[in-house]
Amino acid sequence: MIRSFIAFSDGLSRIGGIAATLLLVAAMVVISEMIFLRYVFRAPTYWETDFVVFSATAAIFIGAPYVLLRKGHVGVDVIETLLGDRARRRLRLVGSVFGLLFCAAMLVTCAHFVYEAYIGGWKHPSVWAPRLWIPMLSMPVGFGLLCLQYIAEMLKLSGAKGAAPAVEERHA
Amino acid sequence: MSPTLSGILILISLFALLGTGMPIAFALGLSAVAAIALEGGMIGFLALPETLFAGIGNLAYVSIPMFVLMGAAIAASPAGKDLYSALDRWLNRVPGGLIISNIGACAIFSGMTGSSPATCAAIGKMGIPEMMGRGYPSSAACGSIAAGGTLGILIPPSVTMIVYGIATETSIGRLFLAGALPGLMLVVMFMICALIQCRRQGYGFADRALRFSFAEKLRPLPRVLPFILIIIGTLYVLYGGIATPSEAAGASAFLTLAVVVIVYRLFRMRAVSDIFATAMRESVMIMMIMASAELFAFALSSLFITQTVAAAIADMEVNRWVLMLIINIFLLVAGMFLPPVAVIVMSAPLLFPIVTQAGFDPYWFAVVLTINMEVGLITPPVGLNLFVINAIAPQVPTKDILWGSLPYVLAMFVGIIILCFVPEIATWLPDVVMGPAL
Repeated sequence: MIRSFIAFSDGLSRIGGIAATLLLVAAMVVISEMIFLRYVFRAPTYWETDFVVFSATAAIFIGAPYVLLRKGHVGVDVIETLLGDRARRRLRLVGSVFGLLFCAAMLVTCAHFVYEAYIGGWKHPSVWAPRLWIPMLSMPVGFGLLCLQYIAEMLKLSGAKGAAPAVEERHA
Repeated sequence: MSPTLSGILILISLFALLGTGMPIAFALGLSAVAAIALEGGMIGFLALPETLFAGIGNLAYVSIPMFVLMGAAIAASPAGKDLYSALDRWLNRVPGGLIISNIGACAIFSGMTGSSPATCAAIGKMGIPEMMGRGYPSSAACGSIAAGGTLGILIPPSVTMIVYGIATETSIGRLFLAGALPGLMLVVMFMICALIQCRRQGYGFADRALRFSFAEKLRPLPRVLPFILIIIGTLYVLYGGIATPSEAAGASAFLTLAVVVIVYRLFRMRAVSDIFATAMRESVMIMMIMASAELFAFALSSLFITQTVAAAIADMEVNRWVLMLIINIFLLVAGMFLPPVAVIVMSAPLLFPIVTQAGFDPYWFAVVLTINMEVGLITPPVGLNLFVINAIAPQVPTKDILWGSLPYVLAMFVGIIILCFVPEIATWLPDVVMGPAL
């Protein structure tokens, strides 16, 4: 059961990572197309800037759970390095509880925000005027996935039955 | 609760959270969320997503993943190797030429990638064994690479400068120009450091016997030239008024990827997807910190902490240079524990009003701040470059790497002092190219 949950959560985070990568690639291609259209053909552009900004913003939130899975969010590990194995594990658990607390709080408030945007039919004040709930949805989705990934990481740390040990990867 | 007390409580909770080793982004976010929820109640709590979305939803932020992608593409290619061998072939007749070529290669490569660890890894993997093989002591070899790698956050285009620009609402184009001459000054100072080391200890002369023909000297150049042209092209597009920093970054990332794929025949899908994945991880890490910093800055200003601190410092009427010394010590200590991006986004809302109120140029301050961050990259306990060097040259004791880096740390302090006496080194170029700052 625990093993399946961890596999499920890791899998979702990986899908999020792929989606975030594709969003950044899309942003890069659209920026290049925008410059090409504007400076080579002198043609007006109207949806490109919004698309680029929203896809880069969405990439941050949707990619964050994958970065957590890969231990890529940089932290201050000075105290950790001074401790023994058991104490280090406990400290990481405490850190994970606080991380989960932040992500859960943001999930609640972001879900409420997107609901308001959806009900209110908010649109971006630009020529293209996309519906705002679509790019905003990346926030509750990202924080929701982060909550799941944090629970999975805590299960790995606590050495729960069936959980593989947490993977170490020094950030560089 | 008074703003001073709230400020102290926020800082204590932030440091306690950071002490658990949790991600900096989430520690910043949680202390901001807690402060706003306690002071502003439900209304404050529900206003958070709007602050977050409006804060990071602007085009300037897009330049970060784009420059990171450009750097990841260059770092994944053998461009570092070509650059290194090109400089070695041209400079091997100079006493200590190899160590000087290493610093030069680090400066150019770190300028192109904007990443200190990537530079240390790319140039160090070839440079350190080569230098040790030709009789240079391990400490000098490792120290020059560790220090050379730090130059990337100052030499444009630099992601650290973009982060400063966004956090303080200053012009990114101007910041890039402000970093150019001080970057060059540090390169020269590092080279002088290396030369003095060589002359004093009498090493580095054996490799002068090695001779390369003119054809051999020309051979690596065509492979390096496209990257240098892309950097020059990016800067031209930026200052020629053709595109904004984000647009220039996006187009450069696209061109760099194309060059990497064509010049180095990187046609395997796996290699290209690895570049994208690395860039995504690095960008998300940086931008998540910046997103949380939006919440943190919002918390500080809505609790009137920023305004109170700035007013209190102004009332103290201390000498502005004493103030700058205190700020420098603070930045230096913060830089020893935290990565540059985190130091900038956390300190900008508090320090920026103080610095500008004291009459310092914000672009000059960006350069001084960045050099402080460079020092943090090669000093314990969290010197990222030291870890990288340790990983690629495990046979060299950490003590030797530290001793080797020390002269360069001193050179950076001298650099900061020179900048205090001659601030024009940072402000002259932006003024000439873009006109005086408003």
